[in-house]
Amino acid sequence: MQDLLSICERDNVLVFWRHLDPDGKLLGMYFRSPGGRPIIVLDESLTHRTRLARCVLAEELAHYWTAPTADHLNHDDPLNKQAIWKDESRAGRLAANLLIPTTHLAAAVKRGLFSAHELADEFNVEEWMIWRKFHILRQDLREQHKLRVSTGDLLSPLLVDVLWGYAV
Amino acid sequence: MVSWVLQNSRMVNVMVTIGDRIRHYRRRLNLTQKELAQKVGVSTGTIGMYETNKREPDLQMLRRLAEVLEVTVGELVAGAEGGESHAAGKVAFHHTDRRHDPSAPIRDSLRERIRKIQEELYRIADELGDVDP
Repeated sequence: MQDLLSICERDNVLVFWRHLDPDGKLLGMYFRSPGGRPIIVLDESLTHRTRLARCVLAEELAHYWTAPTADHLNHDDPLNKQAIWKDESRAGRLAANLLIPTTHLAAAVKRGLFSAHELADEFNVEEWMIWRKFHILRQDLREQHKLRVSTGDLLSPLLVDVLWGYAV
Repeated sequence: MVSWVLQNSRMVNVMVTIGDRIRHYRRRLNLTQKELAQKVGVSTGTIGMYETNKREPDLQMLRRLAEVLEVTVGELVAGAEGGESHAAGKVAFHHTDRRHDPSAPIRDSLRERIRKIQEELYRIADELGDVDP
C-alpha cells in the first residue's frame, strides 16, 4: 500500500480516508477540487483490507491519470453512460497494468503459479484484478496479434512460452 | 506491445509505451542508460530492458524513475501531464455493485453522500492551497 501512497505523494494527489458508505459498497472516489487539486478518498474499512485497498487506490489513481470525461454520478444521460464505460475501461486497464505488470505476470506463470488465487497472493491484489488482467491480455492478443486464446491457454504449461512471447 | 499500450486520447505525443517515455525523458536530461541506472540503483541492462519493453518497472521503481527523470509517475505510465487539469467536480468512484456495470444506477442517498464528501474535501483542499506547478 505504501508504494501506491508514495506515488500519490509524488504526483501531488491528496488522499483522505472517510467512512463513505453505511452499506460498505462505496470504496473509493476520485475528483478534482475547484482549485485543481486531485483528491482520492478511500473508505475507512480498507485500512484492514490491504489487497482491496491497493486495487481501489490504483483505480482511483488511474482515473486521475486518464482524467474522467464524464461525471460518474450522472448516469441518466445515455451519452454520459457511454463515457462512464470508457472512463472505467481506461482506468481499469491502467490499474491492472500498474499492479500486475505483464512481464512480472509472465514470470510468475512460468514459475508455476497457475491459479488466480496464487497469483493474487503473489501480486497482493484481489482475485478479480487477476481476472481483469487476463481479460486485458486476451483482448490485446486478439486485437494486436489476431490470436483468440482463453485464460486457460494463457496458463497452460504447454502454451505458456509461445503465448507469453506475444504478450510481453 | 501488450502491456502499457494505452488508449489515452489525451496523450500529447506518440510515445505509447512506458519504455518510450523512459527513453524520451532520459534523453531530455542528457543521461546515458548507465547514468540513469546508477541513479536509480539497477543495472544498465535493466534500463535497456525497460526502454525496449522487455521488462516493466514495479511500483517502487516507477516512483524512483519519476523522481530521477523529473516527471510525475502519471507522465511515465500514462503520458498524463502532472498539472493537466480537467473540470473540477467530475467524480469517478469504485462501488462494488458497479464493478461489472460501471454505469449502473446508485441510490439517491448515496449520491447525496458523495456530493457532501466532495464539498467537505473541497474546503480542506482549498485550505491546503492549489496544486504545485
